[in-house]
Amino acid sequence: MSIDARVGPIVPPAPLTRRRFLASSIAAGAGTAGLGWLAERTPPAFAQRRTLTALALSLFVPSGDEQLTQLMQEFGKQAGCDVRFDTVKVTDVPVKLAAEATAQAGHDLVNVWEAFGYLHRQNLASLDDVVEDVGRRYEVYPGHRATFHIEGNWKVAPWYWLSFVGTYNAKHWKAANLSLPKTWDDLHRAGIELKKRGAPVGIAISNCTDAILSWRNVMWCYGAKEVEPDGKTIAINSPKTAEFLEFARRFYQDAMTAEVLSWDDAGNNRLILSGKGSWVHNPVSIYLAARDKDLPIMAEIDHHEGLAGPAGRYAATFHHGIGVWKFSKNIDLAKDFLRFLYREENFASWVAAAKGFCMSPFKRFEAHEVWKKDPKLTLLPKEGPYTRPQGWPGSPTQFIAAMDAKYLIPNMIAKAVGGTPVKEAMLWMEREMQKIFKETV
Amino acid sequence: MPSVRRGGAVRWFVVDHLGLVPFLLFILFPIYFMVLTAFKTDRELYDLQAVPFWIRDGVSLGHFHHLLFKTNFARWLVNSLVVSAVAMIASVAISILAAYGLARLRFPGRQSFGIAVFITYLVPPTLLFLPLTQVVNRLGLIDSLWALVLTYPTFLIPFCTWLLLGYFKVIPREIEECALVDGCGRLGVLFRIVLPVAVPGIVCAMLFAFTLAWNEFLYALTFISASVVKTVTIGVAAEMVRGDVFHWGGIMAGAVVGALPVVLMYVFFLDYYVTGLTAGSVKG
Amino acid sequence: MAYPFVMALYFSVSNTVVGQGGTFVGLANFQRLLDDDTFRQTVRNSFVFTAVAVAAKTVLGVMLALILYRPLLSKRLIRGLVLLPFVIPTALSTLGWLWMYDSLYSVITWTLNRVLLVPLGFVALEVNWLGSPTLAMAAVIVVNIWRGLPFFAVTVLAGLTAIPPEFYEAAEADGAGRWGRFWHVTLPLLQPILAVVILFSTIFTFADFNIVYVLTRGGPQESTHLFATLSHALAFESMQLGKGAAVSLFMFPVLVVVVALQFHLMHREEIRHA
Repeated sequence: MSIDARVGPIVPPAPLTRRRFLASSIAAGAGTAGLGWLAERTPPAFAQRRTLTALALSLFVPSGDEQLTQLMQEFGKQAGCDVRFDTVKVTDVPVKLAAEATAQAGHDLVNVWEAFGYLHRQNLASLDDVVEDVGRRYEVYPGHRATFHIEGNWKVAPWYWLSFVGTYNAKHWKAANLSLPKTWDDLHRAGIELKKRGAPVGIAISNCTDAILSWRNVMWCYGAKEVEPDGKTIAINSPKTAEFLEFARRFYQDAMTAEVLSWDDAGNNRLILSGKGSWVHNPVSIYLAARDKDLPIMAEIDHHEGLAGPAGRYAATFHHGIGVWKFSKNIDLAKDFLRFLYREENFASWVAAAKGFCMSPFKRFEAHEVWKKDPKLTLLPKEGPYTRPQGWPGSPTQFIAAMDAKYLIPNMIAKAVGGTPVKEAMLWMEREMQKIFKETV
Repeated sequence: MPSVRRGGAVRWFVVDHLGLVPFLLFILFPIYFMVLTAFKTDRELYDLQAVPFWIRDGVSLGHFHHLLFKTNFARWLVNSLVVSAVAMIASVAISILAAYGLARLRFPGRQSFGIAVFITYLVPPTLLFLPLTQVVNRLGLIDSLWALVLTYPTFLIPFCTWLLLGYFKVIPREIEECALVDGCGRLGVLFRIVLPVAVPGIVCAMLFAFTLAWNEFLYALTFISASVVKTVTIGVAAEMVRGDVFHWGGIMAGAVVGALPVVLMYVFFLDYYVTGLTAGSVKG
Repeated sequence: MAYPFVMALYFSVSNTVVGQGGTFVGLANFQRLLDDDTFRQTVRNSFVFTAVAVAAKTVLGVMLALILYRPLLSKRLIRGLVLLPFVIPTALSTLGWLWMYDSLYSVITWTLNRVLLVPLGFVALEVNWLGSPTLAMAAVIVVNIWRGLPFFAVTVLAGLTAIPPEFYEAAEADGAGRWGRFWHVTLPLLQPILAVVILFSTIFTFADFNIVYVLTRGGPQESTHLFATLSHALAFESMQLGKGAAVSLFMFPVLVVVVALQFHLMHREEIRHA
């Protein structure tokens, strides 16, 4: 007898049971219904009204997305066109951008941030007329110009940015009788005391985005930089960087615990939410999430203004903007929408809907009441003038994106705090940057 | 099975069931946990003092409510159903022909054709989807479910062909030979003799195809942007992951309801699935 | 179908960057990858991931199949339940595991602490399952095993049921005990089906994308990157489409070898049936 593991003894076809009849008729019915459904979903072959489409990431604050949808609809009524606002998960936006750029077709307006503007610069239409005009009226913060003014003109229209502030647990600071820090050095000294009391400070030194953002921030405050303003000359190997790394090492040893070496982006959230942490560097999402979920810890969380270093005060952030694809069929319509969005009452309504989480790129809206309503958020707009793009003083280019994808900055700091001499850590980063430079620029 | 003494049989009975327990725990706990999470309130979900194994603050339908009424979830479900069903039917039909051809017919380049089919399956979607985007665009199918229906067979067909090929190959040729001698054409043999016997394998291929299509993520993300045209897998992620915050209650609710149609299909066709996957005579 | 494949090949020999064009650079991408630490790590990861997961699934699958073969209560229900992880779409079930592995709210950590450590007098741990290299690799392997185990169990079970009882009776008559019967009768006769299932699973596991992408995105420090996830990351985080395509193509030789083996086995079985 053969060992047949696939088919058992051959049986004659089973008689038509009720079950099989039911199954086949359901299948037939569903099939025709399905094809009909598909047909309905296919866009018509000939265009009727124009449709203006926009793509953005799903905002942390859903009401912000809702408000933008509403604004688009109002605009559509006025301009006599249909509108559509699509949102996807933040990690999926680059994938969609890549697909649309490759296919040379897609949405009209796209949410672009930091390096993506530079990356897709060849496919983005010039928005000088819109942005220069709004700049005259509202004054754009310098960080946005540095990020979105690419190769001679505005390729992306500024939209918002996220403020990374000192998020601290007021209870611990009060118990230690400490006043709020104004410089990174102040924080270091406070951190020594706080760690002794079992409430350490936390900044990620690991392969996550928070680590890159926070440590770049500190680095700028110490006058160190990765590249020169030309974006190509590697400038990481310098006395300022050495000073910065020395500070980082002391800061870590005295004020933090080893857990930061394995944090992900939610690590600092965890530290504060558990009640143990005393200070982290994060957007106000921790506080807002606690407030919305009605968690008891929300009473202890508060924020303070950005810290300065020997070279001044800077703020690292993600600058978000809206670009218009060059291959869009509705470029003028899209620009009209941007002008509509930038009208004072409209932009203000969006800022309000974002509940203060999205910061305005314009000085004009610094006094918006959304930040006055909750005293813990009042300081946020003050960060505006200090933001700089990733890779500053160079532009946020593909070089920078590739460096960040390899988490060079956090790795350099991890080496320094882990015992590698500062000079070696700097040289390591320089070598890695050179390797990447050869491939990307 | 060879008979054993009565006392020994009882002993083994207990041992067997005990041995099953860790496996069942491992297999079923995540599912239980997902379902549980879908019914918990946010406050309890994020309370570190709460016991995660049961519900303390009362069963909450809030997440389901939000999903069904504040998002396009119902639409997404139907979209997924339609796309998966149509893609499955098309792919399995083609695969049956391809597999039968590979198993029975002798034509030049048969070996290389077979290999080519499997190679296309091995090329990962992460590589293919950018060029495919251009193709889909040129056909004017962006944002339409047709884009998915036409691209899914690219990975469904190779897989189903493989599955059915193994199945067809083991069906004894004798029964076909008889029919051929009687004057039945090749296609006739396929439809009247082979298919009825191969029903378990075909149903199995259909179920696999349906699940793979339902589960597909990358193409759905790339080709579809409009919310009403989304499928369940990308719709839930887009709505429930905001910024870098995951709304777990909603995600689990979406996952549970999103998996339900597929699970129901398996329950309905369980016998077919098991026999098709394996052998015709499973003791039970 | 051919067009996208050819385009993909073209990408791999060019230095295309997303959003811009690219020029032909020959095999430069492949060379650079072989020099790249991340790539070498990925190769190691892929082999470790596949080897451990498939081995575990084989052993556990056979164990479970043996149990399911025995007279049990409500066999049909149990068989149905066992299949669930395989049936539930991966994209959705992996999210469930992501929640289970959450660094703060993980039910696994909770159980470990409340049930084991604290009662025994130890300090409660805060484990970052997906945050440390070894743990993360273990975590993704566990999910892969969870998903693939039903497939192994059910298939091997079928193989078991196809073994005619006479073989067992003969062995018992020769004085073989339980273990002897398993080792000398069951295992050899299961060989063909085990071979097929193992090869099948190797391909699936080696080319896996979803599990790692959802749980760790290749981190921490590239310790869980597989070919598919590295390719995706290179193409969409570093924007280097050319390099990403090249990584995908590296997978090829291995998979082709496995497929060829599969073909060879099927061919052999075909001969046996003839």
